[in-house]
This record gives sequence, structure tokens and C-alpha cells, in this order.
Amino acid sequence: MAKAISSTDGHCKDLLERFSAYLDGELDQGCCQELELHLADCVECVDTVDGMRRMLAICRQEREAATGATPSPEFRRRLLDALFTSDKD
Amino acid sequence: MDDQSLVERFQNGGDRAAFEELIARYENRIFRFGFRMCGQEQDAEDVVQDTFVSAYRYLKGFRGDASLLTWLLKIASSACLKKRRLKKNEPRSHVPFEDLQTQTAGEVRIDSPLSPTPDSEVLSAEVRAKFHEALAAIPAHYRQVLVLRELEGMSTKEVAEILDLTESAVKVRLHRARGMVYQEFERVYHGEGNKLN
Repeated sequence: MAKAISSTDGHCKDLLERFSAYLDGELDQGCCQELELHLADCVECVDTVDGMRRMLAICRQEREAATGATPSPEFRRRLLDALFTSDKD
Repeated sequence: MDDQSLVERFQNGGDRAAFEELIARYENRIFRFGFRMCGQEQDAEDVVQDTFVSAYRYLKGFRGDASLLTWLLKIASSACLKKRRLKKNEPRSHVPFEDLQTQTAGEVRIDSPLSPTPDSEVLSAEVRAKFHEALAAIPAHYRQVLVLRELEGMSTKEVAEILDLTESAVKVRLHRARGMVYQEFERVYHGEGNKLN
């Protein structure tokens, strides 16, 4: 499944997608070891995966923070009007 | 009363009160999904309206193979893409999500569950706004997967049902979407002299 990690112009190819799969436990043992070995030796990629970790943490915070978002107060009335209209069609 | 009982009341007798109860249960959830996909409160309301108008028309054919929420999100996903296509030539103006918050304002605390040594820091409103800007910038079919999995908390199986994809395809799109949002975030945030790390 995994392609070899290779450097291209200072960036490590496929790193983000592979790290994402790694976080979800979808890489096999060999690929995990390869990724971990690479991260042990590549400061730039460590910086990148740390940033991605933070980005995913933002996602989690946004999931939890969204409970207060609701339609406008008058929206329900407009929706019910639209439904009754469509019911007559 | 559970969803299935309400659905049956509507299917068997056209009980509007039962349908209104289903709206009450799910309109906020569909609204949040619509906002995250479209980035505008008005668009999110349009998505909710389109979703429930379609649901009202077609609920009699709903067999309960998937949950009602999954079925509604499937309709909402199509509505979001349709709205996106209609507006593809319009400039995008993104409303920061916190503008819609009624319970959380300004700053939230962040504890990363992904870090080997979880740390805590204050996540500024600016970071959150840039995150949504980055999210809005990636292609819609990737954004759908990321929003449903990461922000709506749906399982891979549920996302596959909503988007008519295989679970493998959902995983592939999710990994790509995460990478895209991260890179876009770095561009819009780090490019201004800031850094996520």
C-alpha cells in the first residue's frame, strides 16, 4: 500500500496522507516503522506532522464549539411556509 | 417518541406534527453542516430548507435502511453541491464561524488528543477563522468528507452511505482532505508570519 518516502524539493512526498493514515491506524506495521524512522531523521517532516496534529485538534475543538450555531429565529416559520406551499403543489 | 415512530406517523397519515418534530430534532444539525460546507449563514439556511422540502416530498419512500440523520445529510450534501455550482462565479466571502456562536465567543481552549504529550493553549478567534477559510478553499468533494468525519463526527461507514462511496474511498479522500486543509491553512496563516506549531 505504501510508497517509499522520498524527498522532493525539500518536502517529503506523500507525508501528509501517510501521516493521516498513520493516525487512523490504517498503515501496516512495516509502513508505520518506515514512517517513524523517517520522522526520527527529518526535522522538516516532524514540524509538518506537528502542525497537522494541531490542525486536527482545531477540528475537534470546532466540532465541540459548534453546538451554539442555529438558524435565525424566524427561519422555522419560513421553512414551514415553504413546506405547506410544496404540499399544495 | 423515536425517529422511526415519527416517520411512520408521517408515512401512514401525513402527520405534519410528526414532521415538525423531526425538523426540531435535526434542523440545527443540518444548519451546521450547511454552514461548514457553504461558509455563509444564509446559504446554510437555504440548505436546511432545501433538505426538509425534499424530505417532506420523499419521506414516504424512506425505508429506514440508514438512519434518518444519514438520509437527511445525504440530501443536504446534494443541496450544498448544487448551491456551490450555482455560485461558482461569485467571489467567496467567508463569515468566521464564531460570528454564529451564541455560547462560545472569542477564544476556546485546545487540548490535542493526538500529541504524545498533550499540551494546552488558547486557540484564538483568528486561528479559528483562518481554519474555516482554509476549509472553504479546498474542493467541495474533499470538504464534504472532512466536514462529515471531523466536524460532524460521522463514522467512515456513515459517510460512505451519505456520499455513495466505498469506505476505502472515504478514507482516501479524508487523508487527502486533511493534507489539503493543513497546507491551505499554512498558506493563509503562516503566510502572514504566523505559525500553527
